[in-house]
Amino acid sequence: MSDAARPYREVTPAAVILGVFLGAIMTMSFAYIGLKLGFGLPGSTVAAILGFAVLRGAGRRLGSKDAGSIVENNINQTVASGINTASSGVVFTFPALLLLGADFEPATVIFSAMAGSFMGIVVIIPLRKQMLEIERLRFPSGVAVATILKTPGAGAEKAKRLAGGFAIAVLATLATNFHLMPETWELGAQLGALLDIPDRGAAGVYVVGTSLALSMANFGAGLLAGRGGLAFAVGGVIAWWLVGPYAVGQGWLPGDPSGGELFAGVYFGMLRPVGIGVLIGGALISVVLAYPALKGAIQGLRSAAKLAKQGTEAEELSPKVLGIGYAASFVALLVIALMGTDPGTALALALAGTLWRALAGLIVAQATGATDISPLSGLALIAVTIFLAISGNNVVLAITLGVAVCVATNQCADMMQDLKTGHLIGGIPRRQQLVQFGVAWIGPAIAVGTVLLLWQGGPGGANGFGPGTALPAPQAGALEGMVNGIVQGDAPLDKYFAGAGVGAALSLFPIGGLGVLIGLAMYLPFEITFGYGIGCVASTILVNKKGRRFYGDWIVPVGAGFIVGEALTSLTLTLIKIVGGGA
Amino acid sequence: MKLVAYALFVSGLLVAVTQAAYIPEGGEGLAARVGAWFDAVGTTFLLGISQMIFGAFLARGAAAAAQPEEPATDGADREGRPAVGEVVARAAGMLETLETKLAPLDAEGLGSDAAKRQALKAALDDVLEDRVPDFLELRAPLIDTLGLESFATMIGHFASMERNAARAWSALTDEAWAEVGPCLERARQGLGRAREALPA
Repeated sequence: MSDAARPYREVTPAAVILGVFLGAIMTMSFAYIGLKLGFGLPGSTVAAILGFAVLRGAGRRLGSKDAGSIVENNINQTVASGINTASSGVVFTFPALLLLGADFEPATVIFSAMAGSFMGIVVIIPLRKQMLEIERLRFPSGVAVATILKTPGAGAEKAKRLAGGFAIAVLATLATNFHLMPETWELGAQLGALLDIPDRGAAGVYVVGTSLALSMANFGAGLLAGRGGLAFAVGGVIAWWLVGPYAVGQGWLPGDPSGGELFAGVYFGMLRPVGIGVLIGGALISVVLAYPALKGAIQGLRSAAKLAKQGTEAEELSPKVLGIGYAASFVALLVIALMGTDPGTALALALAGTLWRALAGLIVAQATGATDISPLSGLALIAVTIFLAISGNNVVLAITLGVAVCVATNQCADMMQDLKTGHLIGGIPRRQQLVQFGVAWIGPAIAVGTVLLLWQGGPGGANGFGPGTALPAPQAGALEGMVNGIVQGDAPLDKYFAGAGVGAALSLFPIGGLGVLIGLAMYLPFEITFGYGIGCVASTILVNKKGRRFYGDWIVPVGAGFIVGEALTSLTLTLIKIVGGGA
Repeated sequence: MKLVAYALFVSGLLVAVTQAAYIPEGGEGLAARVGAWFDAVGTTFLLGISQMIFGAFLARGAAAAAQPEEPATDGADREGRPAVGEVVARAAGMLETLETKLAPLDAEGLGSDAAKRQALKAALDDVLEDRVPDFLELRAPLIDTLGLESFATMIGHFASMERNAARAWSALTDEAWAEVGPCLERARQGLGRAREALPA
């Protein structure tokens, strides 16, 4: 075949096989890291860079002169990150079953996680159109990966800016890791010491709560989000500079805590649970208000399907897939629920799970789209709370269903970023989604298997992780604590309900996604919101002064370099520490 | 009006969100906990929420009132804001400009003509980095003018144009010459459908 007639390489066996291989390795590693450190890691940047080396580098050396095209590498990173996305979804929930000593069926958990993985892709079908095309959310990590993928054609100047941002982030991450620079700048504490302000009482909240995470990725995400992320920064200010001090000043916090106890009381006892409620209420009203947009999005899918019938290649999945997917995921949840309870309760659980998954999908899509941050653990806690309430505190069933919903939610966040990348480099969404459907079962099986193996690695074939071991499993520990709290009648339901009311009212205001953004700001510690907000303000000022072209020419490559540089350096350092036994 | 709406909303938010943070004393069990919270701060909380809702609706009203209803002959209303017809006309004009940018682009002989490749890349950069963001700045007024549903239909076709122009750029970078032409054609088709979706 002549050069001119050769088809453009996109979905190729090489891209899929490499994606599966990288995804499998990352799932095992990141499940381990999640149990050890309590957070998940994104796989897209790693896969995109390795994709260049393997598909483009090795592929072309082996004689395939057009190997490793931009859209082919996009498929590789979509597959790899889509598989890896199960690691966080599983690690945040499933280990709680083991820690609680519950009697469960591993095959059911694997089935639940797999069902969740497929559900996440289905939820995204209309949300892709709504968030990417209609609302035009930024999705900073998606932009960062697209910037990497476009490097071969973006020109030397942009490549230099990307490399510059990357180098700064690497240096900053190394500096914090080797304690040359603190991870967090304790601004409040320093000012408190200077002005002799005590770290207790209302003024103490400013002292213990005002800090700045010295994270280039966080700052970079703010730069890429620009003006659209400002509401998130304002939410942090409201939470930590107004609500916290007021509540403590009123004497609402039991005792007279100081320092870390004051921080924990304000954050875990007040702001975080209210923030979770605000997220939920905000998302609920967003669904109602976004109904015309969703309807328009589905009409768009229909007209794309009609065009496909006229001979044009379909770029979108048909709305039939959406309907069938929703029905199938409802049936999957019903089957899982029927294994542990009566038909009536199972029906209620399946219905609640299907609705919650759609709502949680909307929340993470909006949150990651505007800020790059996904409130996954909070949404997992709420999912399990709902399932516990409906099932009459059937812990095994609630957590098993929680695994499905948590995996689905994380799949939504990841898929939206991948589709944003695809949009920017000209990937065909239908192909990305079909490939993701093809491999969605792999990650959950590996993640659940890895967790079980690590558990059985303990003395006597159990207790391989948990408090007091080398793998403390902090997120699952938090879920275990919450489950115990609910069973004993102690959960901050008042905060969830009140927060939901605030979130609903926020979403009525004519600024899109306000409820979700303010809720997310309350859900996170101020150090993150603050650093991100500085990025948003800097970006807004620069664009206003230098013009919009400056955003694409400078802010995108430098911000992308910050995100990628920190992600890769942190991952490398974490793996080195774990292999060396230092973490 | 707008200022009053914002002031009501923000002050209501501060009242409601601070009351939400109250930690109830006593109350065994989940329902009792919610009851204890409501007994202590529920009334003030509801007052704050009501104020937020009122402020939000006032703000929505103010935003709607800011949308001109009657187009004037010079394309602006009595207060000098762009008229409804002008928003659509500006959008149509931008799409027409985009069409004139995309129309002459072809992929014939790209493999042997470096100058043509360079010119095509520059044209695609212009479309993707300048013309598309220009058009997207009309997003909010277009939603107000067309309604969310019609806007969604139109912007879906526009997004297809963007995606195919971006794909042509990627194919050009990857020297996949055979892909460039069909992508440009699909981009033009998407743009045509977006123009058709705008009211005449």
